[in-house]
Amino acid sequence: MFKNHVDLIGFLGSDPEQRQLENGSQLTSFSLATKTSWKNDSGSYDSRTEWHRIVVWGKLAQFAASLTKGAHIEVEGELRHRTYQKQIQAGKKAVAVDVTAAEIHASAIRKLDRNGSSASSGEDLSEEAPE
Amino acid sequence: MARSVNKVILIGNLGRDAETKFTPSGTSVTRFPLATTRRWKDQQSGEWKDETNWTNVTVWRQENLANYLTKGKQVYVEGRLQTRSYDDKDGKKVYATDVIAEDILLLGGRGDSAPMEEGSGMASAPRAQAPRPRPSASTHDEPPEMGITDDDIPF
Repeated sequence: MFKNHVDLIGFLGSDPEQRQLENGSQLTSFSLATKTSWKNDSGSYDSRTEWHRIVVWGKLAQFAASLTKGAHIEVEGELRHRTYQKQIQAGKKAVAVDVTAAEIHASAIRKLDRNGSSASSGEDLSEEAPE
Repeated sequence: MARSVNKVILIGNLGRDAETKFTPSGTSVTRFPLATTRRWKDQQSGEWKDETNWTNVTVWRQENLANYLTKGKQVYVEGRLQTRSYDDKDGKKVYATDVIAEDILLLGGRGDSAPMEEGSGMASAPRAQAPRPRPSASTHDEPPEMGITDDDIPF
């Protein structure tokens, strides 16, 4: 039995990037910022902004592409690590190194109201991945 | 406030025994790789396929629980995603994303993926010979925050 579930609420750091894959399916990706705050030992608050790479496939990718920088959204999905080869410059020659990247594969995206007061308008704009 | 949520829930099996280290101030930090397997039906061939995903889990101040976090153990992990970067030996920036656990439950199972066969969770967990995690200074060439390297991940 396995479970792999990620739930994020945060803000888009840039407009989404769209790509068409060879098999015709659409891929949309973007960065999402979440901010965590906590009380430190001296009683004041520290915070940390985390950036997450979100990857969206299929029909949901079309919806994701309509989002814009700064949008406040909820993303549900699955955490996956992907290893790929990347060319880097080592002195004069380029060498291929393995890079492992963490990605959230989104299964649902909900647009949240910018002023944070209305849940229903968020629902209207929600889009679920086709099963 | 921040209007942010960063929550991860995983159920999977430990890829190897958890490793515990201590900071200079005595706080323990335990790390282990967790396998979750995704299963799907291939559209073309109709065959079932699976793919194992490895996630590094970090938990603070759980040195006692760490004794039970052994290879093959099935656990529930709730926490948040955190990405850190460090420079590797070539001076290249490397990013590593971990789950910082806020809650870990032992679900049972050891050495295989069949859950609950050894009775439930904690009751079967104590092992007299369970080794105490030793404080280990990072003497080898790795960033101080790094307990698990890519070499530990079996792919």
